[in-house]
Amino acid sequence: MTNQIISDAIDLAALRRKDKDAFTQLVKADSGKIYRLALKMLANEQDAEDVLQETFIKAYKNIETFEGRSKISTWLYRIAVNEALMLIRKRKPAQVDLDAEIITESGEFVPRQIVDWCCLPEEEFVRSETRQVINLGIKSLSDANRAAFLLRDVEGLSTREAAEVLQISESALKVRLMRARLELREFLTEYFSGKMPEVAQ
Amino acid sequence: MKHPHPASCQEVLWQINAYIDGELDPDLCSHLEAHIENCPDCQIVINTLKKTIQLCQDDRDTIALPPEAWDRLLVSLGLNDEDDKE
Ligand SMILES: [Zn+2]
Repeated sequence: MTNQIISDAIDLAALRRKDKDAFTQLVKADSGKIYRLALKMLANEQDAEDVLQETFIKAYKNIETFEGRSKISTWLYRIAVNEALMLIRKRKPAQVDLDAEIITESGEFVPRQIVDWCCLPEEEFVRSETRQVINLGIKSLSDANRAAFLLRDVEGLSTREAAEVLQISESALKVRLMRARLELREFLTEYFSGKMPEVAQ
Repeated sequence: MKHPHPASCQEVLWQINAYIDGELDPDLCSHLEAHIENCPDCQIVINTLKKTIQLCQDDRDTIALPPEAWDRLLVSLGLNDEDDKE
């Protein structure tokens, strides 16, 4: 599944004809990243698998609406993010947005904690407890900010591509990314501060 | 001189994403760096922010679709008989 097919190299005309071989190639090329995004969005393997299936079912059904102006993976990400957000909305009532905490009303940005935890020994960062905390941090972001962060920083999309997936402007994307990154920094700083040797402070 | 006043922490923070992504124009970048060099707080925020992003990227390549989920995906798409062609 982690093979070298690049989805943009797949014959679009064949995909539009709903050619099964071409579509299988597309699934092979992009199912891994769609699953990863869904898993990080939803923090649940079953939900991620459902979103993955729905994404490719919709892609197959609607491939003729893909105009080929963007990468096909960008188009798939868009379907997947929408599916994931729909699932989240189905599961829980509208969430309270906590973004305001980090950017104050006057527009000033205030980092709450300044602790240099980068110097911790490398083992600290690879422990499974740490991985869980990182995933918890990602989960704690608002849905909109989490999607922006995952697309840009984990999936490695450009600002333009990530904005296209979320159907927002590039400047809106940048605001969401900034909030997400800073929230995560605070979250991890909170955790790693407790790991710092007391005397070094 | 385009920037007659030294940069403040707040200016650095507003540009922090563009700064760590290397998207600032060289002139603004060196203006901010002149502040950062002498400001331990900004250094810490920048370093821990970079580390935060890196940590979130670290398990990227270890997340793979479980083989059973792959099989179920092909079945749901009606592509399962194509699977052993390769
Ligand atoms: Zn400063």
